Amino acid sequence: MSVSTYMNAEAPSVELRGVSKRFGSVSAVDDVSLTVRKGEFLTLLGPSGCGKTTSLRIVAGFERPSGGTIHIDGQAVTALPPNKRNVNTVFQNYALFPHMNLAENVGFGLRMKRLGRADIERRVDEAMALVRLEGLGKRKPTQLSGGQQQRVALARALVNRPAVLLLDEPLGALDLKLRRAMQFELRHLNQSVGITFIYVTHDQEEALTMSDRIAVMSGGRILQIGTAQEIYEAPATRFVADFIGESNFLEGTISDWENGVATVDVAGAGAIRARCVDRIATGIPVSVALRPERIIIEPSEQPAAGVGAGENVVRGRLLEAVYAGSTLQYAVSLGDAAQLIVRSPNLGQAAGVGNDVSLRWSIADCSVLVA
Amino acid sequence: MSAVMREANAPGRLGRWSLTVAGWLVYAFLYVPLIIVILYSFNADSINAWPIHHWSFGAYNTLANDADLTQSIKNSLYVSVIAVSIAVILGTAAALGFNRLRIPGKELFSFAVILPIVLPGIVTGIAMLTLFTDLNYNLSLTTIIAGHVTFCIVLVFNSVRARLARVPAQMAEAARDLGAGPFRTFWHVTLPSIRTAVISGTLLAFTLSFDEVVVSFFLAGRENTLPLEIWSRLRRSTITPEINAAATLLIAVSVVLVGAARFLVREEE
Repeated sequence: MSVSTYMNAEAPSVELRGVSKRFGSVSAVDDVSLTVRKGEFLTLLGPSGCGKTTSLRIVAGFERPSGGTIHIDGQAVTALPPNKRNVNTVFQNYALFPHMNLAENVGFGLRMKRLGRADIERRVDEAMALVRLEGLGKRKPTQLSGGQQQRVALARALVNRPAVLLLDEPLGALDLKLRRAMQFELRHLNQSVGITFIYVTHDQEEALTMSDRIAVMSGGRILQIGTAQEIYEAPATRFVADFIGESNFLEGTISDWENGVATVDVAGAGAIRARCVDRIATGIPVSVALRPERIIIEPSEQPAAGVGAGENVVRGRLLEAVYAGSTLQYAVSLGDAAQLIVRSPNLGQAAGVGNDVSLRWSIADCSVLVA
Repeated sequence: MSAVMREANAPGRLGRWSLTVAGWLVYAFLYVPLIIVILYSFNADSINAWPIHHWSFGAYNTLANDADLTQSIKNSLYVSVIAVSIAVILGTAAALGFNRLRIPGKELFSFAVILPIVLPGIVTGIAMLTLFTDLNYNLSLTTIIAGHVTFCIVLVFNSVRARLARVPAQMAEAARDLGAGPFRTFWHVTLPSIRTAVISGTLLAFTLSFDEVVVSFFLAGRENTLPLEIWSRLRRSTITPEINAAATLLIAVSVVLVGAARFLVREEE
């Protein structure tokens, strides 16, 4: 082991410091700093045009950042071309070489490293086995299904044993069932091979189920970074709350704050208490974010039994009930000003449209977002 | 509904018949002259007259023994091979360059490459003749080559550019990502992906160069290419069987090359 490897043993796998990328006057990536741990599965999540793919391409070396630095395993790679970086990419359209068979495709990286024929053959066989395509080495990419091409692209990248594997919406072209299976496989691969994965997607469900951590991006910036649970349970901004899963937003103004719980006056719903880490001054307009599945809906004639001190209770009128199989989705109006979407497990009884209902949820399940 | 529409739009029996005849007439207009030339090349009599009474390969024999005519064929091969070789390198390089270029007015530059094939040959001919005269450069096969390169580039350029438009940019990125430098990326990935387009452009350029008259006419010195030799003979006398034989050879070469070019393009698609 060389000295530098030893020194870098504790370095993060990938580190972006103040990275920006402008295309003409458009700022695609705007001052992004990000530290990815070794072996971590990190997802860049956001809508199209949020800068996630550009960020990935900057790590790969396809784009030179307009500002900032990139380190991989502690080594500065900002000025290095893609072929000098110890990273490999799985492209959205797979980008398999059509004039080469699968074995040649998978072995390409090793050939470029001028490994011996026997070594290449052995490692290609291993990689093909890893993605369960053993024995198909002589096939051409065009003879494969989309899912198989996807796995070849994966093998072609992993065979090089990169420090970091970059995946650019690799499952976008697959149908839902295959996508689910591949999500599981990718997660499994990440854990078994110990390679850092940076995964780009606009699919929030994909991000939530696969990632160790998720970085939510919008407008070229990282809005929030954290585990799936952190992002879902405690979204930092309204955009994050809205983009990850569904959320209700109740607009109001702060009337009180104590020990991380704010009281918000919401028109139609009265005083709502919600999680709020930092003190916010009275009178400031805020939103209260609330997940539809955290609300319990009950007929209003029932006494509000069991309402604890840690709960909010509001009354409203059931406007609409949508039958969605395993769940029932309700729209409840709270006076003229506000409306809440409620999602309940389908227990066989739907509430009647037009009736008054009572809604309750835990203070811990709703949080205050400054607009 | 669609059945009714088809019924309404379908030509009647008479219409179908006349369309068929019209179609065949167009083909006849295009191909009867060519067929006559080919048939006459096998005419044993020295005068072209219908019907042909005696068949022979005599004209081809005469052609083979005609020093000027065979020399002109060699000259044509020389000109075309050199001109096309230069055009392949320049045209392919230009197409690769334009494929990567991200500048405003890119299409204008591209059009400037294509223009020589749009311009009448007579304009190219006069322009280049003026240039060579001003430079006091003696006209020869070399000047013809220079003239041919101008339009041969276009065929290679267009063919390669059309192919590159369908090769995803990620292909070259994937190669770079897997450790190939710019040269090896070109050699192992880009070149194989445009290979058939380069070949088909080459074949088309060769076909065009081999029977080109107008530009060659302005830029020729003392040595003639095959089309110029044929043309100069026609000014002196009538069409002789060996000219028909030479023309038949031209047709054969063109058909084979264009056919091969089409096949290569289709194979890739």
